[in-house]
Amino acid sequence: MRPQINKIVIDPDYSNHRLPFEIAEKLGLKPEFMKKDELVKRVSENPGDDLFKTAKKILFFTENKGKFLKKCPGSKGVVCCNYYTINSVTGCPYDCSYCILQHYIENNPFITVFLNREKAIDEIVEFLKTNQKLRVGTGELADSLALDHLLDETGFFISEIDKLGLTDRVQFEFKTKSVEIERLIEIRKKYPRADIVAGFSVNIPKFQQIEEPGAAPIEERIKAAVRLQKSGVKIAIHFDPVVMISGNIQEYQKLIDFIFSSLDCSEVIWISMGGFRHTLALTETILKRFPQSSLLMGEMFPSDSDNKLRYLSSVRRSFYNIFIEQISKYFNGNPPLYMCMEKSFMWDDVKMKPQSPVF
Amino acid sequence: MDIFESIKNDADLIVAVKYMSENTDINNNSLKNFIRYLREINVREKLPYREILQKIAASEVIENNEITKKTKSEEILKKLYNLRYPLWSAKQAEFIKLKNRFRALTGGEIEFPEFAEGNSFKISFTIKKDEDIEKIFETISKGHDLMKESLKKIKE
Repeated sequence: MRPQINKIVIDPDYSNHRLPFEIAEKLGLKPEFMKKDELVKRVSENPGDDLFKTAKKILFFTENKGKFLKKCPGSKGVVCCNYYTINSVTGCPYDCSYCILQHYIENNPFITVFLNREKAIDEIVEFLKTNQKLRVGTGELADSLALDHLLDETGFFISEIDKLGLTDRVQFEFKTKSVEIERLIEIRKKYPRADIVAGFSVNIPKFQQIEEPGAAPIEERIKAAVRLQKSGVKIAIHFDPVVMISGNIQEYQKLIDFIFSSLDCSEVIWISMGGFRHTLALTETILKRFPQSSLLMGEMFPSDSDNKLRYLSSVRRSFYNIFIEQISKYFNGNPPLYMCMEKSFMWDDVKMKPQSPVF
Repeated sequence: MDIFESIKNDADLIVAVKYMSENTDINNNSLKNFIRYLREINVREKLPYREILQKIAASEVIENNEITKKTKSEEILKKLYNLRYPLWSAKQAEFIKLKNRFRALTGGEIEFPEFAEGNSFKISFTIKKDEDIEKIFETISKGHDLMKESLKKIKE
């Protein structure tokens, strides 16, 4: 089921763009005109049952005055995979218990769409003046595909990259928890030279059903991934966040079997795994909004390097080793696997090395 | 968010907090931890707060007239912490044993990474005079097996 959008708000300074009006027409909504501060105030004063849920149904259109293209912020002390992100949209229609975006609620609770995304293309061109290749995605502060039927992010970015003749230098990942793939399949057909990756975030069904409200069920996501593979789109799988608590490991093993026996593994470009990690502030948000969350069940401790709480290293080692063993079966012992936001000592302990095509 | 604000609708938790604050001398920070541990154990083990307090024999601590109210709060919090973090508590206890044994054998100190977040440990010796140097060379080999054991333990 597609996420519900019930309000289109346009920053009056940027009302000359067509996109928000086209979307409003598609959705049968009358656009409103408001500055961001006014919208924040209005939403805070009328939060409905839950401010987060109310705000997630609002699309706010404005321009981005800062940079679009940024290096993935990673975290101090972790092994970095040199991924770049484009934040052309911030905010997501899904309401995942572990989402860091919950922290931005006071300043930016709704889904913000930046209308000057052409600037992101200029930044890619600039980046490629000094770098040979770019591995980039739009899924850091948003779901890349959940609203693609409205925003056409896939069409915009891939067509621009193709137009500039940069398809062999830019690998573009669309990371999602949705099954909104129709547009991407069309784009694949239209731009056969483009290097497109569809990344699916996955988790065990019992976790997904409770802690990722609104997102597509795991089976549906994998069905979508299979269809994309058949249309020629490369697939990435992200096991993140891995919830490392007693009783979950068998569920993850089943999930791994399900995913990699469904997909053509020779066309899986990369796989990441990342244990759940979070800031102390997020603990309080989870406690308040998801008091029964399994995220609070593990033994997690702060790290001196980045102040994030992580599972005890022995638990992480054990989970990662089982993941590696189970996934390796489908890749002749050499899966395109890496760890996300994990420290170098853990890479040593599980005998993993940064390898191509990610590093 | 104020954690006390968040318990206002949880009658059973209010009872547990009252029990603790009336029978021990507990400061605000410790009370916050008390609430957090109770809630997280409750979610994980599906045990009512009352049964969690029974499990750690909180009443025995409260009824012990030989310790101060402050010590009572510290004892209960420690037991609750051990129940909340069983793996880490066990590992921490092993680390303490290894440190003590190393100190007794060699006079040196083992320093494990905080919360076992790493795969190495450090050892240190204090040198004040020439004889201390000779002593290190005499005794360090006695710590050989223990260092191997420590390395194994940290990677388990």
